[in-house]
Amino acid sequence: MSKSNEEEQNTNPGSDELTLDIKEDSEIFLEFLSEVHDHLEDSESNVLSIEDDVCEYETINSIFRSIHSIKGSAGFLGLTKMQGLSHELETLLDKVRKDEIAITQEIINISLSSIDILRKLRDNLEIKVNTELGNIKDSDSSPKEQPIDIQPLIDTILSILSKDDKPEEIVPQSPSDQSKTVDTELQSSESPQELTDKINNSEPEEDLVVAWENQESSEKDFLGEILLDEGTITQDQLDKAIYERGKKVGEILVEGGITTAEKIENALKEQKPIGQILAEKGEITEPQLADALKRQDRKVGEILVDSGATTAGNIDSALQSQQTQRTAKLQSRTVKVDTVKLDNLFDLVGELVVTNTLICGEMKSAKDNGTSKNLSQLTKITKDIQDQVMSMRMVTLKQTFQKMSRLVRDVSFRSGKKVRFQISGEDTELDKNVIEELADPLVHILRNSIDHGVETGEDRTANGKPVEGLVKLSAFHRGGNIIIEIQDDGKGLQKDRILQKAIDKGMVTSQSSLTDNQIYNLIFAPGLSTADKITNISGRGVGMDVVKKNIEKLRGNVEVTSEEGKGSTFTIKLPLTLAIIDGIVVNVGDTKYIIPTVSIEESLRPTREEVSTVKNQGEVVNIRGSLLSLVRLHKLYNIDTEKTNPWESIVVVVEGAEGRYGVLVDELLGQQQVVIKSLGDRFKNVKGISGSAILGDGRVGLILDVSGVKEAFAGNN
Amino acid sequence: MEALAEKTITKTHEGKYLTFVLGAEEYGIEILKVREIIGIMDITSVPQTPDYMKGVINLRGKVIPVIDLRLKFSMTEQEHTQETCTIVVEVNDSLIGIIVDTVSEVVDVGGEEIEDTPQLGQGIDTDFITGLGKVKGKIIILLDIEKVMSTEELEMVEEMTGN
Repeated sequence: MSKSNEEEQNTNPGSDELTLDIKEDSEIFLEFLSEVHDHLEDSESNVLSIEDDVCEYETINSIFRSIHSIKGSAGFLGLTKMQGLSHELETLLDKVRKDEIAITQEIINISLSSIDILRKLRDNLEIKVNTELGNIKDSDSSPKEQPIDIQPLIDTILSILSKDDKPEEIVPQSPSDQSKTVDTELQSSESPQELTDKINNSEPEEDLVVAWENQESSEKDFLGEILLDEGTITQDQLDKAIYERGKKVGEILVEGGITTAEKIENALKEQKPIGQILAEKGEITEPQLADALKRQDRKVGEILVDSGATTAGNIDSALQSQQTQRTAKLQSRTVKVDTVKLDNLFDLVGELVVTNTLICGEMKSAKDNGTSKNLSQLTKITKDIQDQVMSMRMVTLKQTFQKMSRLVRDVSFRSGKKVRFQISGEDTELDKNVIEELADPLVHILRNSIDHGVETGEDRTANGKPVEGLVKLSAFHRGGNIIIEIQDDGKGLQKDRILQKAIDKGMVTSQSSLTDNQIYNLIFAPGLSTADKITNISGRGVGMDVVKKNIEKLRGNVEVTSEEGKGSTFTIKLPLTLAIIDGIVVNVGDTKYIIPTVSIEESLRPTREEVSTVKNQGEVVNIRGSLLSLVRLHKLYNIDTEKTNPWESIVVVVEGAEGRYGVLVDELLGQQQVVIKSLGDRFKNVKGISGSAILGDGRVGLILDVSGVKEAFAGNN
Repeated sequence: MEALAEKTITKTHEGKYLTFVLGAEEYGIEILKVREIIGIMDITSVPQTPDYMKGVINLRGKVIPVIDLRLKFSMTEQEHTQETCTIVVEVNDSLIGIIVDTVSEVVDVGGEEIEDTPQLGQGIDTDFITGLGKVKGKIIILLDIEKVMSTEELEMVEEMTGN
């Protein structure tokens, strides 16, 4: 790309001129999108960790590397805006990395908002790519590209940079150089490398040394750590080596018994630095000595620069690529796989299991010992493969939790409350699909906890609590489920107010006696918000009911417990995977249905007296005193069956969104874990069927959605 | 000028077709749309769907819908025989099975052998027919399978809302 071309694009940042055709090189674009996504996620979590802890050189360096990669790829594709912004951010980070600028809240904020903007730019590109590739049809509902203005952000970064450039005026050669640097930055017209060179050249020497020394020291740490990681050495050995390294020659001599401490002591008194001896002898002058001493301390890169063999910029980028290679080595153990391929593999393995079961069934009669032994071996292997494939879909909660810490940071910042955010169990693994759906509910709950739960600083001190609020987010396994807990130490839910609100809205009557827990869980009902005023964060009374709905969609549930004045805890219970459910297989005529076990309460065969009709149309069944409406599945779905009398078939009592009712089926065939398969868009209008599954005999069974069945039933009558 | 335009339209439909028989008629589907041909499998019927939507089958771990083309074209349903086949086609990135009486052969249909669908009178929908092919003295009705499937979806929605 020629320089003038770039200049032109930069003066008109509104238009990104793609250097490649999206259709022809779709793979490059898709790869770029996922790469940028990963880099941004990494950078964000790194920036947040800087905010929390002491800022480590390596952390900043890795943010720098991520942003640098984005800049490089964006430049290659001709995405001028993305390149421009990441370039400025990179420059800023570079200065931070070299300790030229101290990390301030301002810099952290700017980095985060830059990451946000970069993410938006990425999303725009994604939309563009998808539209080009025809994945998105033009309609009102499809996401549109958002116009993004990167100029204000760039200006802010530049203002910080120029603020910092001022001290350079002390350095004699600087003034002309410095004004030039600022100029070029404002225009952003030069290639990144040239610009970096310029900045580097105008740097005071000391900073350069500091940067290199940092580099050096981190390398040393690295070596020991690497050896430790590889198991070549033990921690003890490492400690000993570090100790040895610090020893003086005298100490070693004394330890070795070659001489005594006294003699060494005397020798040391006599000992003079070589330079001093030379100076005394008149061989060299004092200034010469000072100069030599200065040279002695220098690093190889610096000497190379001085001797004119290379430029500081080259050295810098060499050091950087050295670092990148090191980390690349550590990261190359993972492979990225398209989820579609995983899903296909998953389907095939499921089929393998079914075929395996069928063969086993056929071979049982064969009574050949050798064969049955081999078959059981095959079954075992198949099961193992299935487990492995399942585990491939599992992802840790790490990324989601990291996103949450960003959210907590922003929300507490906006609401002016100080909140400490504790995360635990982020290594807990969940199905990828579950994790994707989990972010929204978590956002809602955390916002509520900070906005409504945690009190303001004054209130907290008045109540004898530490000024800083505490919000804990933890995940762990319990009994085949994943539990995610959000705990705050705020003021807790106010029982009376919730009850009063619920009564006002007519959700409960004032007579009904509710347990504390039942009252607390009323907050998940639609339209109930106890916040006195609506803030821009929460308080509109939507939210908690959406949370409940979303979690239930994942076949989990959410509950809240609370103690007034001490805080509240939200507990989300989720199945390990969305791909498998426990179900009872039933049949109606020839068709097999699967009813999810979680929605079944009991199943029974009623007596003739327990079933009665209402107005000769609706039917109710009397189950131990409670009257439940009876849904005849064969009638609802027009299936031919001989068993039409409830007292000859089975009533399954299920609990849907609108209460309990009975479903009339022919027979219960047994309990089974099934892998859920979507029926696709073609059947999305079928009420009461949420999906399908392949049963043990290789046939397809339909999974009943008990709430949907009730709806279809109500619609029919 | 008009003749030229017509020619370019018919030209696009030439190519290889998989032909099959429904009753006394022979139909053709573009070979590129066909994924595989399988025998009749156990079909699980799905409630609340039109009668030609026979249900879903398990195609090596994938659950795909199956329609009976006879019913779709308002012919009478027939008992399945040894020759009854399911043609699995790919429509808009999803697989769908089509039950036909027999699968015959793959034929090359040249552009000059294709004629536009003539008007067949009122009430007869010719939208999903791209043309009539004259091959080896037979008439093959060339289907635009994507259109067949999309009209089916519309009908299904209507039926649902009618309920």
